[in-house]
Amino acid sequence: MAEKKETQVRVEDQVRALIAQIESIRAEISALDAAINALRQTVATLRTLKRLGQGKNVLIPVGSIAQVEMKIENLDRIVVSVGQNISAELSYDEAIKYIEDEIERILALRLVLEQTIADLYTQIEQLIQGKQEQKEENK
Amino acid sequence: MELNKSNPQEAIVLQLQLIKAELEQLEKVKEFLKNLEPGRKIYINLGEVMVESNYLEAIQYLDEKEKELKAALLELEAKLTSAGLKA
Repeated sequence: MAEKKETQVRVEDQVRALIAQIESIRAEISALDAAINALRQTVATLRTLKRLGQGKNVLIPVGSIAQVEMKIENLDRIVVSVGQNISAELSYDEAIKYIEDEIERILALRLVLEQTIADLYTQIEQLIQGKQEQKEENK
Repeated sequence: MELNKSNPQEAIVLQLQLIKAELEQLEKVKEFLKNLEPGRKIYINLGEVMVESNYLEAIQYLDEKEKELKAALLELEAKLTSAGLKA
């Protein structure tokens, strides 16, 4: 009897652990979604700036509260962050491609995480099913 | 109870994975810089300020980061080994 109770508790612990993993992965997916949105906004902004043309004035944020007016000198070169605190100058087209490739990379990672969640749900179902089958056997 | 005991070790394993991912990214950035057209400007992000740099300085900066990460990796692997676990 005590053994059956122990098995039941183990299954419950396993299910709880799997649910915790799922929640953690969901939080990661939310972070990836935010990153994707930010990158898409960047591409949209660069395209708009290119369309507005050189010589136009723009307001550049300084901190969270102030803005400074500046003139767009050159949109042929864009400085892009490439990771590890390094930024590099790219041509406009190279920069757009780099950012779009980054979006694709994150989307691929997002897909893997979603698949992981699906697999974890399958594991939970199997655990619950196993527990129910055991209960039936013990009747 | 076993679940609680394994948590510090799980934290070490997670830290190891994060450092390995950072080392991988570092290699990719080095490769990117190697393939960058000569004459293109390179900047190092120092937080609020980005300082203009060059290829050699940027690689040196990344090499130093790599050394620190590898040292941290060795330390964590030693901790795991002494705890009797493999990453």
